[in-house]
Amino acid sequence: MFKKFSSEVSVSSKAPVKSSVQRQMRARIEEQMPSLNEYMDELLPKKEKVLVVKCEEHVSLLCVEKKMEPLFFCVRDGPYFPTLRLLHMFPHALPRVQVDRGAIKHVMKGADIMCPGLTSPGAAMPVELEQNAIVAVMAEGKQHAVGIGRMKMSTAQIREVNKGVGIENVHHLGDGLFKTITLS
Amino acid sequence: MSDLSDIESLDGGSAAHSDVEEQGAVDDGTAAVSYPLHVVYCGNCGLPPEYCEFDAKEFEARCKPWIASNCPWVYPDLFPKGSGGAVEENMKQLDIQDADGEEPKEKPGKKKKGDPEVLLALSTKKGRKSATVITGADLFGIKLDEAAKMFKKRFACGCAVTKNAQQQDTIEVQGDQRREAAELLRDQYNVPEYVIFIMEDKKSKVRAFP
Ligand SMILES: [Zn+2]
Repeated sequence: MFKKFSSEVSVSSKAPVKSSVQRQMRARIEEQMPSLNEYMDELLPKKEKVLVVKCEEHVSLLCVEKKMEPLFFCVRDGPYFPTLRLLHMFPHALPRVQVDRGAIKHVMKGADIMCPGLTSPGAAMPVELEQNAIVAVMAEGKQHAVGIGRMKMSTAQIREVNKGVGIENVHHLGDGLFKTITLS
Repeated sequence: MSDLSDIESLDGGSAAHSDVEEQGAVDDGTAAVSYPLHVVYCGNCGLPPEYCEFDAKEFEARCKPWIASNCPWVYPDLFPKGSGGAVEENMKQLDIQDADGEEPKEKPGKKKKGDPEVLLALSTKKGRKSATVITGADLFGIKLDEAAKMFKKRFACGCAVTKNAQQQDTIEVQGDQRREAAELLRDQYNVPEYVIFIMEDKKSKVRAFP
């Protein structure tokens, strides 16, 4: 989704949100990522201006005006995703799956994650997840997430079917959004 | 790292230092990790250094030298702990930095030249007050002003980035926090134990984690 993203060409508008809207966004993020709740005052302080940065393909990024670091994004009115940099700072924001080492280089090129890369000995799916769940894609032998994805199948289906795409690759190490440290 | 240990760490079991984040949930005082986690990104390619290896060409040419002088412990096979490899690479790198006119590192007599380390010393202030002075943390990819903020929070005390007599940037924490700060540097910032030293008094330097 963010392969060719860059703050110069992909951004169409930046606008501060009303404080009532900001409260709503915060509430939705807290609902989706409860482990971030105690840090939300630091991430999206009530007193700071929060900007919605509209981008191509109906993507919106959220950032605090003072810092301009992309923190969260969503597509249309869909769920909020943390950016990978934010996930690195708060590794428990999302449930995790682990791909085997062989899959790492493909994920880093933006490929979706195939079921066998999630069921082989180097892989792990330690918690049961439903279809459409948003997950941190961890990697065999690595400490930090390699990507963020959305489950195309449930973990149970991935084990059962064991072929085809198991997880859609939404955001990964080295993509345009990862390289966008600030939007200013 | 074996497959098994990876899966364990994913479930939150292992206590190895690469898995410090997993201990975050256990709030048992000094050893606990606070968030946000400080993540070091490669000075060359911008990825977490553990992922540099997947671009083989770039890795050999440019990432490796950066890793050698900033975080050799990420690739223990390439830079075995305590062996010549990492130290030599470090020395090379630091010599280059010196030539470029960057701040030269403190070189205490006993240490080998250019060996990066973090030093925690106690300095006495007016009256009975004291402060812990941390030198060299920036050599391990730590942003000092961010770290100072974190120390402030963690120890609930004054903390600032100051220059010492040698014009090096240091972190100064109020009070004697040498031991606690050493643990925090290890747990929160992944600074390897073997480079952290404590000054017990003006002269005797000891390993923080013997
Ligand atoms: Zn690199």
